[in-house]
Amino acid sequence: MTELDPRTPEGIAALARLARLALDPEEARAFGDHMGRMLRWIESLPPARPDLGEALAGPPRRTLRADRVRPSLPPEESLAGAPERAAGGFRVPAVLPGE
Amino acid sequence: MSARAQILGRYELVVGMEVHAQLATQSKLFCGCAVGFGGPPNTRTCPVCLGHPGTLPVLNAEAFAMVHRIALAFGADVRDATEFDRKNYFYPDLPKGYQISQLHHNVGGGDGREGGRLQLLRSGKFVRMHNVHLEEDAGKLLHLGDGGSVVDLNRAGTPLAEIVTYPDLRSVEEVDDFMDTLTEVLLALEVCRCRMQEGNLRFEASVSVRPRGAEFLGPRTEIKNLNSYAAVRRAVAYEFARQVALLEAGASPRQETRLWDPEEAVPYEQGVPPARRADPALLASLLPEVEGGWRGRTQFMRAKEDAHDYRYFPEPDLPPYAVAPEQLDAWRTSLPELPGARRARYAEELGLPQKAAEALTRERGLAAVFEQLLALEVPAAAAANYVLNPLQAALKERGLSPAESPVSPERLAELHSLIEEDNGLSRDLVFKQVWPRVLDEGLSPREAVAKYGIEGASSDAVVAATDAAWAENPRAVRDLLAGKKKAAGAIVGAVMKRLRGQADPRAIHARIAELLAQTRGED
Amino acid sequence: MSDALCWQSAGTLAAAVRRGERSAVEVLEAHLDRARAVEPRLGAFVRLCEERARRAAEEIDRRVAGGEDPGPLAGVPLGVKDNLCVRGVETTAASRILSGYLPPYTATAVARLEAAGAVVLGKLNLDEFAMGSSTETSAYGPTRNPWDPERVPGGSSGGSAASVAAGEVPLSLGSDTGGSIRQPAALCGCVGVKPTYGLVSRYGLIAFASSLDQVGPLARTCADAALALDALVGPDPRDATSASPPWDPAARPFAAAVAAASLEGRTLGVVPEYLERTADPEVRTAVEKALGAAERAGARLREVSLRSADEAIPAYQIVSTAEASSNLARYDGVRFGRRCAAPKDLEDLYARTRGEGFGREVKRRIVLGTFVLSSGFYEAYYLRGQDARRRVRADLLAALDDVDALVGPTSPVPAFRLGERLDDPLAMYSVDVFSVSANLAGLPALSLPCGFTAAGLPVGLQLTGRPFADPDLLALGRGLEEALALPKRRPLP
Repeated sequence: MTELDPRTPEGIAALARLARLALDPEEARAFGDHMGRMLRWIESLPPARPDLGEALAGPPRRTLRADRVRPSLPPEESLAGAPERAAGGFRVPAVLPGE
Repeated sequence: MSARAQILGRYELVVGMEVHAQLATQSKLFCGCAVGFGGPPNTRTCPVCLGHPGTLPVLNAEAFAMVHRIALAFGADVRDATEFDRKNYFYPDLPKGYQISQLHHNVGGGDGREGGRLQLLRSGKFVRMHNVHLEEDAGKLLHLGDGGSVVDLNRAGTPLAEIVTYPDLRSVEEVDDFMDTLTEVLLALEVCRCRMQEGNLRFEASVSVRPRGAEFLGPRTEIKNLNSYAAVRRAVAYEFARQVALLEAGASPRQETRLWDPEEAVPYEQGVPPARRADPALLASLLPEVEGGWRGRTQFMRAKEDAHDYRYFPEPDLPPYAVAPEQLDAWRTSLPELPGARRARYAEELGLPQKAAEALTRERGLAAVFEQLLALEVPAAAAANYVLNPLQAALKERGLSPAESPVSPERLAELHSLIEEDNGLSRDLVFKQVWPRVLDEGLSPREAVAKYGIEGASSDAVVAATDAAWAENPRAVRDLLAGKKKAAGAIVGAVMKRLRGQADPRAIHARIAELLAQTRGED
Repeated sequence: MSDALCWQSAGTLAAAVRRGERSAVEVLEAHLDRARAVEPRLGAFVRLCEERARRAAEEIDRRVAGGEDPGPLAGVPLGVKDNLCVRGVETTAASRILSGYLPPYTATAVARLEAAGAVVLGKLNLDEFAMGSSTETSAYGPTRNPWDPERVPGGSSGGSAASVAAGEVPLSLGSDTGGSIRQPAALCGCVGVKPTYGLVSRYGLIAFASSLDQVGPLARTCADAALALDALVGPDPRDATSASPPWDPAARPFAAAVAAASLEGRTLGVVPEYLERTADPEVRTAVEKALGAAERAGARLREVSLRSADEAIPAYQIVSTAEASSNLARYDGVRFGRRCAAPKDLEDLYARTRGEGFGREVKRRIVLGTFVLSSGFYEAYYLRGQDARRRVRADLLAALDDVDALVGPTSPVPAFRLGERLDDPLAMYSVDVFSVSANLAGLPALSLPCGFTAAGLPVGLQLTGRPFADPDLLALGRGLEEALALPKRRPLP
């Protein structure tokens, strides 16, 4: 998957596709230059140790919610900010079935 | 052996299953919106499940317990601390742009840990489980047909248990067996409603094929969009035939994701390189023979190299969830008897016929009624009979579940006493005259007898009618005297006819025995 | 007269309103007048909610008249960083992609301050999605430093710091992911507190990097910050990462700690790595003077080394961009916010909505974050960053073993010129060199003014404490304020 290397224009383009970001050519060039410097900085860190690979999320806690139903938003409020609506939902350009 | 069987016989089908079971909680996994099916779109949504800026997930304790119960039921190695990961991808039904799921810290199994196993009900085979984890469901898309789609997020955030097996299934029958078994286990655990038509339970099959006797695994196809048990069976059969057709032609399948299309009959391979397309005629010849012709096909969706880069990483909005050993023990010890174990106990310890044992454990709640009858001291065989015949028929007619039965186990037990007591009420009479009133009028069996004055023929009437039949059926008497016990049937039939079915057959048989003894004594 | 009200402390104002000596409406109007006078030169607010604020102030006055106590912040005008949701009030995180967004709910932090009587005056400018150190990446344009309008106020809570320093509000809310409360507080000459991670609910804070973000107050004194913190802290059932501190939040521990503040017998840890990396000699001098004043007030100074000092920024870049790339995926033009015009298909909708809606710095960070999480690079980058984060935390906790707090400059430089670092992201990121560690480690930290440069720019001093030692940290801050006894200066007359 080296095609994702952000030091190359192709890598920036592939990452932008993955992140669903349209970049103009000037941005893509500026990012490529910056990423090279950024990655050198990051690579100054010692390599990761797989034995330390556990997430750093702090001590386990038990912040659970009782299984109780709470009122939902009125549908008109759920849809209030939608750029485009249809049939009680959020409208998007046609999507093919499946994920 | 047919040519089809001969060709297929050279290969082995290898199937693993990935199951999404919607957990039967009241509210969603990370917010308080109700879990449900249907209804107008976006009526069960709130800032959290709409993915509004600034909102945060808070884990539903009941969903957390349910997924642990599933893992424990399989005997999986369950973690003492569970963590969540984000699975990142863009799709309109995924409000946050990521799904909260588990990759590295599954509730049960995964990461080289023991996932447990499931014993199939029919074949008795063990299927190894890879892992069980908790995640949130996505919303739904409605396709408008005018170049647009509509997003409904009522389902978004519904808790799902994802259950992943090893590729241990070797035939369509075993796949079917697995689906039935898992359904029964989930129902027994009361963690999923298992209504496939409502999407409660969704199966994905991972299918590969190898030469019989080979040890390696072939490249696998993941099949999605399987909306019914029948769809799973047919899709697996189709995929077996498709992959065999490829191998027979010297090509090899490749790792890809396919969609099941239940309607179309002609294979459709757009997006697949020509060298990787199965020959349609060969494929057709390998499909199971179905009346009216085969329908359904798997349709190429994407190849492995187009696989998403999900960029999983630990979910920072949820802390690790510790599970105390005492909590685990409590969940483990409160697991219900699972259908497999219960079925074996009914057959082996209670001596029920295999069929009855299966029938009692298949539908949720039937076994509970049966167990209550046993507790009320109704013998097992009789209890099974009451539950599986009159009760189940009545429930089916009314569209009720056993839990909603209009007749309590106590009343069924009373019915049993009524039949057993020496009161002249025959079994037939009780079911013809008492049972409908118990069902429809809410009376207890004894109340029904009293209210409608139901009574069997008196013992005098039975004796008189038997004596008359004895005299009128000399041929039957002769046969009886010759030791042909079946001949009594003619006499019993005649008595019943005379008494309009109100006699207790046991009383008739008793009188016949007396008459036989007398006649023999006279000789 | 009305201008004088604007320089009173939140505590003084609330006390006067509670006693009925001043009306909340009068207090509000004085601050609105001040805001109208200075905003053309400052640009701290992205919008004022005058009507909503008047209704709230009138309600407070009604309650006082009816003999009720509206709470410890009665009638205190509050500025809210525009990445905190307020129901029905446009909230954008200074991004085009959220223009017109009306949240259907209110952030817990805002709701708690309002419940204590605070009156929300308006929403404050920030770097887009809080990504920046100068408030220059805002879609609304930059906020200026009240002490020199040619300079930046710092960021990302630049509006929060500038508005407080300029007397528009005595109190504001900010958010701090890598120094975003403390650094602008330092550059604008006010107090800014980043509490222990989890102490203040993040519910309603538009996420930048969830494991680093923390909401906190900005004020002109530690006492006012403490007043706000007593209302803010405590677990929230809507935020699973919110924490129960080992003390009772209901007992107003911050006010108590500040009231009893003293530096006598306290130990402050001086980090040589930080002083060495302080690029501006005037900043270094101001900090050293402050350390001397602390010693004279009875504090002991001890040198403690932080070997991981240089790992903090790279670790921060990895963790914050990774989380941001995921947190910002929800801005897809489907359910709320802005959508591109006439998308030709779904992919076009996504790419152009996001490409047009996000500014350059946000896109830069999304690209980097997408990279460090991508298949094949996760271990080399993301896990490496997490390891470094773990070392930074261990290092800081060890350093805090023998001292009550670490002390040093908040920022290596005073306020810099607008545009000076905008095109050099690494130069911009390096401004956070002393502040990101507290976020990586989840520790409480605050910045307070400790002097001025010859050009009249404020210098900030940073204190970093142990987890949940927040009240004590405020007490140390109050002690330093007393020891320093800085002359009162007011910008933007």
